Amino acid sequence: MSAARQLWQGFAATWRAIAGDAGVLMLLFIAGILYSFFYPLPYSRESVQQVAVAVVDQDQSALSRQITRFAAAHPALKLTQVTPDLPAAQDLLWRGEIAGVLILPAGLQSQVLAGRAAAVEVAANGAYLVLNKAALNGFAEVVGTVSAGIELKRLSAASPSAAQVAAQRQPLNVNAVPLFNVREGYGAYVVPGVAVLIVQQTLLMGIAMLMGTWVERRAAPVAHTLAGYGGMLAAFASVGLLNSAYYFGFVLWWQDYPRGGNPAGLALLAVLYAFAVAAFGILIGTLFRTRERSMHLLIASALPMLFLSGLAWPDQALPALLRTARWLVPSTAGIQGFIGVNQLGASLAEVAPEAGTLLALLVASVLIGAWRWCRAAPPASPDSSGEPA
Amino acid sequence: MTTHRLGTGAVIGREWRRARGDFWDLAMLSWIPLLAYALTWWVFSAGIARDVPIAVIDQDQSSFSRQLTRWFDAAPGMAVVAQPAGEAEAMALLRERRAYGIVLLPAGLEHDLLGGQSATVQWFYNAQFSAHAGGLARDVRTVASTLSAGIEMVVREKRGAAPQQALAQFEPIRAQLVTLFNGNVNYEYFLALALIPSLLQIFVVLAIVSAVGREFRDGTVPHWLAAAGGRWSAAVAGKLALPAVSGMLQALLFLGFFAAVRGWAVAGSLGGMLAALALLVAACLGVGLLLIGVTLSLRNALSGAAFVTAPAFAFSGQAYPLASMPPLAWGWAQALPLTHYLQLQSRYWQAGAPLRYGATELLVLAGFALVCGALGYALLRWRGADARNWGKR
Repeated sequence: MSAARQLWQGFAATWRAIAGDAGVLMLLFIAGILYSFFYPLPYSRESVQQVAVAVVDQDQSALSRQITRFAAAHPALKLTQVTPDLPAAQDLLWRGEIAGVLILPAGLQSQVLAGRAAAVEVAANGAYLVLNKAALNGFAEVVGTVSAGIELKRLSAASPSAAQVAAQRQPLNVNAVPLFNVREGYGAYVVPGVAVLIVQQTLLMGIAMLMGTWVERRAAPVAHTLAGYGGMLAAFASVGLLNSAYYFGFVLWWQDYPRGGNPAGLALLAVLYAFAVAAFGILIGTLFRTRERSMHLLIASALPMLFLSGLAWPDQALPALLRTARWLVPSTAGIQGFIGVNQLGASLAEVAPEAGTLLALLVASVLIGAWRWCRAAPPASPDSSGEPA
Repeated sequence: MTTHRLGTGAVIGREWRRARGDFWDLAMLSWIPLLAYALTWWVFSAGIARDVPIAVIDQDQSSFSRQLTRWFDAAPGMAVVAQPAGEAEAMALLRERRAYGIVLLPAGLEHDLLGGQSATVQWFYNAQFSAHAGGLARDVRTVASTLSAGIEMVVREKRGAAPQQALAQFEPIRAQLVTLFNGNVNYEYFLALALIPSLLQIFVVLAIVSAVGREFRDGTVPHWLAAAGGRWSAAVAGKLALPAVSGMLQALLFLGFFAAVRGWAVAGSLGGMLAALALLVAACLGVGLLLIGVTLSLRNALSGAAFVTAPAFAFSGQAYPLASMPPLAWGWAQALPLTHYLQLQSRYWQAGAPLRYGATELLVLAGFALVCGALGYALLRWRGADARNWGKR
């Protein structure tokens, strides 16, 4: 059989094997579609509105009531209780009914009226970082607004113009401008990265399940030759490409996340990623002896891989060894590269390190994987056409 | 071994011999989970991100702007890695992810500030990398407000206010912001502590699903039942033993390592924490039994386990709050043992709550164990012995 025919035979036989195996079909196609709706679901409202908070008012003065009113009116806060009693607030915090509390101490108003510096305490639950940030920022704005009002009154008594007063009060301002994910949605931040990981994990599981089954049956439909390997690689890569097209073409649009920065770069990166993951999957697949084993390892590895990718946790904070070793799984370069071209609109040159890493992974996986695949030819059937399953 | 009395003990013995004879089976009950936990801890072991790269566009080129740049570089969370000439060059740095934010110091900055006018610094940040940007924003604001306060105090004192008086004038009411239970927002304490139980629930569900599912895949149900003396109760109890012991040991190692070795002592009820961990393991065993009872197929039960346990962290409310989820996601979150467990953990371990503050969640976890377990057991008993259900791949 000619190499080209063997290549085609390997491609077609792999696709036939995929189509004939409900478990593999489930992993390669159905799981991705299910996850594409299921995973973004918790974030569909995109941002945290109305964090439940309480005010502990121990001052019971006109000033403390003014601050409380401002807190009740703040769009990011939902004031659920005002109490003079600190243990009551602690109780609410422990029961998880509030995320933060503003404590207005007794004597606040008299201190302010006397022109002395007064302090109030804002405390929020650090076990929930998103709520913590929202509650702290909300209360800080409330206190800042009231404080600024008092200050402006004092200053304008001594200064000629309103502009001069404002300049005196805050000489150096910071104007913060979010780029790329301009609405700062939580789903828009995390789902595009997770999508890349889902494409990888489902493809790896599907490949390993199919190859594990072939080992169990001691017969593969694909020839244990270089051409057979090439056909199989192309078939698995085409599955990865279909899933990438679905996620980056449909899901990002459907969820209305930032996208479409660089379609040509995306297409090239998707091909590279699909082949790199497929070759990586075949390499892993040669290690498994049963159909289900790979699922155990791959289900549990997704979470650590996400946090190694440098998306959800800055890679500058990773230990030096992990900062290097994380590039050994395709998802690291994949997540960085796809976010680069899709969400940041990076040119191909700007994701060259990621593309280069994927290419290097592809070459290494093909070299080792093809060697292991050809070597695994069953001695009983040297005929390269293999045996029907 | 044939002299053994048949029953739970014999099933446990059969499981143990099988695990010892299969490298990967034993690995999934022992070192693979521990390796995954160790890796997770290692990822977050730095606790706080330092020196996240930013770029500064200095259009002022004054001694003040150079001083400000040095201050930005000196802030613990960030490092000034580049000083591009223009915005185009800076944006390329962002797209290449060589910098995650740009500070733009406008021309005339020093002149304006020395002349008593206010000035504005632009802070452009990559909001797609929210974890990076959050820490950077804090540092940028801290540097700017420290500097601002310094300038303001000097101006006030020049006008004749005493330092103490100047401070009171400058900020009549100061808000002291306190992050409770996690003072310096340490991610080791926040994420590693939440992620490891999220992995634990995956491993426990996988363990029980695999232990029971194997018998259906291989069609060895009669052999399994024979070891149990024909009693389903003994057969299932024997299957639960090894995953339960393994899961509980993993849970105790997790608690012991972080509480004793890493110094994150349990601030509240230790008994509550232990009960929460034990009930999480029990609830996962129950969910696993239900999955295999419904499917009677190892492969389908594993797919189900993946669907239920792998995204559970995203639904748990730990990273993204439950109250901000749509009703469907909120409902699904309530149907996951992990959601309830993590609430207990943050209350008992971090917030220092006494035992009574978790009574509801403890009962819910126990309910998962009993209801899912009983349903799974009933389904196994009802359909498990039917040979038509065996051998499904």
